[in-house]
Amino acid sequence: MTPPSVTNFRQELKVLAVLALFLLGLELFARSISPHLDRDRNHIKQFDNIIASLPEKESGVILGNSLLMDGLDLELLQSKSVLPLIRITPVSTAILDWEHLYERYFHPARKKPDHLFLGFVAHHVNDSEPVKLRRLARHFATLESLPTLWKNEGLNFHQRTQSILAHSTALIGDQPAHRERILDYFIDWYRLGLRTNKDFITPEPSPPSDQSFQRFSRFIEDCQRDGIQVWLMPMPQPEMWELDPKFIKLIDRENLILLDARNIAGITPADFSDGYHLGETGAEKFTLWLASKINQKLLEKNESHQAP
Amino acid sequence: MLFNSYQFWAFFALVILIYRLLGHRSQNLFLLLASYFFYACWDWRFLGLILLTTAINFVAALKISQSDPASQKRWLSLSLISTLGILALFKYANFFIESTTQLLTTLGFEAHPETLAIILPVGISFYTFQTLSYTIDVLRKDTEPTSSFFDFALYVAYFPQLVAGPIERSSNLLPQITKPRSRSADDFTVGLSLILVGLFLKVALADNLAFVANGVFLAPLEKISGTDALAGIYAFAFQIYGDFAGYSFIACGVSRWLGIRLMTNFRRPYLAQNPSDFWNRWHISLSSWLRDYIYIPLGGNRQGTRKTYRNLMLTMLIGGLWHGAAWTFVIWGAVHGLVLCLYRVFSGRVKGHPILASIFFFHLVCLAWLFFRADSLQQATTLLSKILFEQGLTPFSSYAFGSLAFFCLPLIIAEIWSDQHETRRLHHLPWQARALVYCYLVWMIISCAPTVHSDFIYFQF
Repeated sequence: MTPPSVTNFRQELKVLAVLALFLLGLELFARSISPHLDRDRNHIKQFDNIIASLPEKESGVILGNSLLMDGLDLELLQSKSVLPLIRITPVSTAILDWEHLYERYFHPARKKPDHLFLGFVAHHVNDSEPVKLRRLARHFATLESLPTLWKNEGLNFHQRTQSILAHSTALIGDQPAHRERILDYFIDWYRLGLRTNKDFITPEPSPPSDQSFQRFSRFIEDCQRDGIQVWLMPMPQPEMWELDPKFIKLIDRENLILLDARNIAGITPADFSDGYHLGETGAEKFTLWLASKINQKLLEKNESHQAP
Repeated sequence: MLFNSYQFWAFFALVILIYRLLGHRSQNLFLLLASYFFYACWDWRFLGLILLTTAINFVAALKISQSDPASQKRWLSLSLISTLGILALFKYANFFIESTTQLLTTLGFEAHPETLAIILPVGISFYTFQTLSYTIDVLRKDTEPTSSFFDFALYVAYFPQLVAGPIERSSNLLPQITKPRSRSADDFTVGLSLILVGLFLKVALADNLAFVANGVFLAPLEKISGTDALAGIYAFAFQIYGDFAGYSFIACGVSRWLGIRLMTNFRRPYLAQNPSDFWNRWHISLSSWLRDYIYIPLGGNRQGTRKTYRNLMLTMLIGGLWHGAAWTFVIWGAVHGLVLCLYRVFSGRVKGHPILASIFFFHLVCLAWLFFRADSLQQATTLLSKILFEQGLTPFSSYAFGSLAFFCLPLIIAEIWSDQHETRRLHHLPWQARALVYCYLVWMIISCAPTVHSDFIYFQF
């Protein structure tokens, strides 16, 4: 039997036009829901306003991820610390995101902070942390900084194209969040099942090999270029963790201030809400400890400046 | 350069742009260069192997067409030994060394031979079979040998189907290369539908279900229930279908845009009602190759019942081994061979409802996939025993079955609808309906793709 003839090219153009309109609609929808997707994206949307609220006098920024979003009581800190502070803590970020975030949001800002407090655990600051490309390109990098990202991270053509698309469109840039919400809506037990699935697939962590800290070095260089004092806060965890000797050397060489929060007296495993993030009690203990350390260090600094 | 990567589409855009500007002979030469570039993107060192295989079979076919029967056999032997020798060395050498060592150790002999550090060249099984079919077809006078080396080289290395098929026959592909191609009004429409369906199958369906299947097959056995294992096997069945059929659809679509029609490689295989039906729907280019160049030359079903069963088993064992150098693939082939034999025994005696037959046969196929996917025989048997004796719904199995339903149900409904009649194809739909389906496919491709895209499974074969 002769197969029936297929449509003509003009009809196919109509199909393509519908498809193009559909994609445009999806993009507009993705942009409109972006700030409301979750608490984190709402926070990212506020970055410009938060940074603009930096006072003219000496001030600081708390920079980090969910460890500091949940693990720090900002109001308490602001009431106890002598230094006015703001907080920028997008979840699931690490040093590469912070490097680009700094360049995108702080570099062009009218007023830059005088102090930058960076909270992290080991994997957040070394170069082996995987790049979350779509999120990085969409929310933290600028179009101008993308070529630097490609070069520094050795990204291939596919990744480069994806980073441009992610930067330019919410449909691609926020895709992981859309996907998660769609599947969570349609599939029973999606989040728990996904976590179990990931546990099955993720191999046991291998002992850290030779670590490098090039991303961290670049970030520190950027901050120092703008005259910002960087304070490092290795964060508390239920079990004590080690700082890499190379990283310690880097701290000494760059004259960074280390506020070692890994082993704060009084914080116990019960102070963690999920075995990783500080819970309410832990956040309070950590905040009070941090405020006292900031006040003490700033006092020491002032005294040393005033000393004949 | 994967079909689901931006590199490929940038490469293809450039290729089609230049291709349209050229005349027929220049198009062929340009496609050949593009195909070699495409292959070199994986590993340029293996281009030499393709050239060697091409040269041997080009000369052998010409000599066969010009020689007396005795010389013809010599040239065919040269072609078979050298072409299969290359395949054996690169794909099976370590498997045979390891298996022999294991056998000797079992028999009490001490053997410590060294395995070879060999990389498997991508697509070697595909282009080897495609090249051999040409030489054999020339001997059988089923095809005319080409006197143009470049045309033949393009037949071997044509990039849309070079690394994962379809394994084209010279009678279909070669005339489309040697003769000027005419552009059809349907090419764009059909090509677009094939490409979108292919990308959906690969990016949305296969890559998502790969995550579920990998979870089950990588999990410690004590941590999963029989229901989890069952969901994992179903997930793998649709993963491998989406992955391989997706590649074939994209290959056919891309080729259609170049004006070359490749053979259909998949035809709704999981709706098959019996093994014979299945092999007319699954990896059709390989199953028809095995039928025409192994099963029938062995005698097919013409030499009595026993020999028919032997031929079926041998053909399927070779088919299993073609997929990979491991005993799990051999067992996969053996299971399918056995199912074919049993079908021959019972066909005509047992009649079932078509829907029940499809469901029953789908589960037999899944049983074979279990051996295909498992890392070892022990893992396969343990999972099977869990499925049979340790059923229990867990949050993971709810999630896994939910994923299967979300990604596969629309596909299954579309395939059942399409299977009713040859004219029920996506490109035959009114444009409004087609636009709607495309919107769904594109939405799934963009919004539901996993963050990391994976290689095509069949590249390893």
